[in-house]
Amino acid sequence: MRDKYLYFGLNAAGTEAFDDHTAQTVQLTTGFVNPIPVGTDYLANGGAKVTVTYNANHTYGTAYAGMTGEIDITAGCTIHATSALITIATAAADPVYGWTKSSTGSENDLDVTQLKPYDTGDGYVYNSKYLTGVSVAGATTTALHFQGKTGDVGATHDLDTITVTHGSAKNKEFIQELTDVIADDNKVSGMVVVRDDMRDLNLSAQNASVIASVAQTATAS
Amino acid sequence: MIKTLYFSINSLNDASDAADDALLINADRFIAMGPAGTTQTTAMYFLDRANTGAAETIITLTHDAGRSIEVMEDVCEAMSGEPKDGFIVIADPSSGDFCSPYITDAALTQL
Repeated sequence: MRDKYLYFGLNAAGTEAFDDHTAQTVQLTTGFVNPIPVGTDYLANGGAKVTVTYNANHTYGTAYAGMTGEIDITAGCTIHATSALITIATAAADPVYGWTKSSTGSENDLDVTQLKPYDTGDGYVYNSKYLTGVSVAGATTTALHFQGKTGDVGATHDLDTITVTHGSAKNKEFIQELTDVIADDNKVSGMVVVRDDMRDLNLSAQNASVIASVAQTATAS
Repeated sequence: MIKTLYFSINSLNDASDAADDALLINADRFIAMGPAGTTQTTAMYFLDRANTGAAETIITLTHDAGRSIEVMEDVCEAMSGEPKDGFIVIADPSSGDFCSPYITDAALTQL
């Protein structure tokens, strides 16, 4: 049986709200994620999205024609390489993807939402080879025990425990879904998402065990 | 099949003129992998290459901003491969050979 690579997305998406905003820029802080995101391609590579609540006094690029509600204007945004300052192109500067704020600050409500992990502990891939045991932790939780990332084995054995929350008394269903994946050399290859809290993804579309969330603890010997 | 993972370390170095310029490690020793605290780094954790049982070997991959999840997918896909010689290049910045188009460099930490 080949090794399988099991992904657990541990942290929920970072978000930061900019309500009643008076500027054409938004400055992410550690309230979004600590550390703040860096890299000018972070937004273009799908790391986060910028949305604005529609208001008739905004001016929108043609790409947003007819849209209402929460509008994703990320395509008109750039982010500073190191400061996480997001600049939104005006509709005059970018007639397609730009957006121009209302002159009335209370009409400008923006949100930035993380879409991909980057902080330490946001998520881990584990090698199924080092899944040492699975135990029922409670009616709605099952614990997956892995060899610790620290590499400590033997007398100073470290342990990483992934705790999956699922439907009540669905422990066995979850374990069987997991072992189905681990044992399948024909259909399973590459990285398998067991649960991703950030992107709300589960092991299977059916999600028979009603997986809801996942967390991790690392135990030193 | 014994699969091995190859890394050359630091794109500024020659891959073969000093200690730790490159690493070949048995894929069986791969424990885990995850984002490493910036948008541009992902860490791979291995059982210690020296088999001390009380340490770890960490490879930190540098990549395009916000591409950690894609890099992890590409690395897992590469590790799932079964080349005849078992030799899998994950990151070889000294020759520009990478298993993912987003990886640009690799660093070694031996704890």
